[in-house]
Amino acid sequence: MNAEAIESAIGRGTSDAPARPPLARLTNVHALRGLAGVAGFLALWELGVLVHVPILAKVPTPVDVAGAGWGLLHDPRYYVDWLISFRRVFIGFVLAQLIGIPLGLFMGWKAAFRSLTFPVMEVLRPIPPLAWVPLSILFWPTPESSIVFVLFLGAFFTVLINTVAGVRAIDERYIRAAISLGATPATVFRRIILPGALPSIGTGMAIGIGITWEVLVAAEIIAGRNGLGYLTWEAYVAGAIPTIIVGMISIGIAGYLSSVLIRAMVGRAMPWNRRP
Amino acid sequence: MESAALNPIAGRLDVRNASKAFDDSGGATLVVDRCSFELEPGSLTVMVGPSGCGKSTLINLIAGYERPTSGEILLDQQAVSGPGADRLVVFQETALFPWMSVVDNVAFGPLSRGTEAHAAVFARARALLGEVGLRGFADRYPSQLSGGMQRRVELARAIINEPRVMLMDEPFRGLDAMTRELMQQHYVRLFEERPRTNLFVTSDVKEAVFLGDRLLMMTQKPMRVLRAIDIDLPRPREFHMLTSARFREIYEAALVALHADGATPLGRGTER
Repeated sequence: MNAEAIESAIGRGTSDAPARPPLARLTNVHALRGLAGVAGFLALWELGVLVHVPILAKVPTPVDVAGAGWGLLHDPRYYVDWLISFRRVFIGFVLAQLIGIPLGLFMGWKAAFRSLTFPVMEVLRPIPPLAWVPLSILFWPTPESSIVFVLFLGAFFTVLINTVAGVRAIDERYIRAAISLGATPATVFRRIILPGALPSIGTGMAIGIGITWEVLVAAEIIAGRNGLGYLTWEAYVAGAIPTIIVGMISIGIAGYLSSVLIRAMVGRAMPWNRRP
Repeated sequence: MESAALNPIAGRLDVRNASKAFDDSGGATLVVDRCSFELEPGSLTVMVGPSGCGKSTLINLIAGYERPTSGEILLDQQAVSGPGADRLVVFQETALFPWMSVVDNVAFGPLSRGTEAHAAVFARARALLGEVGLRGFADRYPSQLSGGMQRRVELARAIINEPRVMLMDEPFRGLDAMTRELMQQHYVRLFEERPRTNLFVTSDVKEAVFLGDRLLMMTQKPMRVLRAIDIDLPRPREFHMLTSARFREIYEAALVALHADGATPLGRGTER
């Protein structure tokens, strides 16, 4: 009996790839369930206000909020707020990746550099980005740059810590194998360390973008004149409660869209990691 | 190094009185005790001993991942001083890079050393994958392959470098019986087509006799060479030989040697 015959007999041949469930139908089921969840949430909210649940005493109904939202959709300033907030988040987030990922890779790779820098990073890391705001305002020449700096900090430590952890989690066997096969340190870094740390870097990015949006509101309230966070604050000052909620929901949607985008990007960069 | 790999007489490995002790809290533990043997160029030697007897440690010494506490290891008269592509290890667990396609994995060694054009490397990698029955799987990722297929990729990834010595550290352990037999077939065929010095470690005596030109029977704790047995079964090896009288004779001799471990003092050994 030859090898191929044995192989097909035990079913380890071409039938190896599992059959995919019809993806389109799956997505529809998930999307429908998601929509049902949203509808249910809105219904509970409306009901809660109607039956005067105590903590909802001052909360407008979804219908009122929808009305305020409809009004904002006709206000060009609302779109400018979106754009400005997205721009701040984008710049802060990208800067955090540009500095955090290389630094994290190097810290993970070189034990000497890690023991040199780790204590400083570990002390700076627990400081909430908002605690940086006063210093940031003093330190940076424009309100815009201080907002971006605070957003940067929000994402920076998350991606840094995840990158370091990602490098350190790489199985020693891969590095040994690569060195045995004749790889130089540069090749090990480029073809083993970097792709090996990628899943963890991706996790850091996904968490980091969320934190960036969380920090945005406070940063815009303190130092801004515009943006979705400022919109929310301005509505509070004006006593327009439905608009506050529209601002909150807008930030929620923006954060959600960013996460989806990041996850798709990260998934695309790691084709080997795709779940069958 | 490349020219040495192509040299037909290259690949003589000399293990001379090699010992390895590890320091632990209670003092030093001797794992490998004055092992001496020689691997002839182009021969397949199988080291047989119970699991955990120190075979992997010896492999690590030969691979250069660790230094012997005493004694020396010579490859073509040169002392082994560190890991190198002239002595490749195929491990128990697969160490394929999950982020590279199968063909990228196989091409990794030659590309890393940069002594050969990309196109030529990939052509060789694909041909080799065809030889181990993975023609259609070159562009898959390792995670999309079964355990047996992954081990064959591993085999191809080592062989493509034409190492002077291949070190097989229980490469088929953990596979089901059918897959294991399939792997033995692929492996022995690859060896017979391009004979180079191979040291194959296993705790399966049947596998050892079927594959090898020579058996090294090892004792445990600390590990020593108990006995060497030459296997004069003809090549190419075929599965029907498993039922031949000669196979059974050698198999029984090997079992007797193994079970005598501990009852008899160190035998004639292989020291020359």
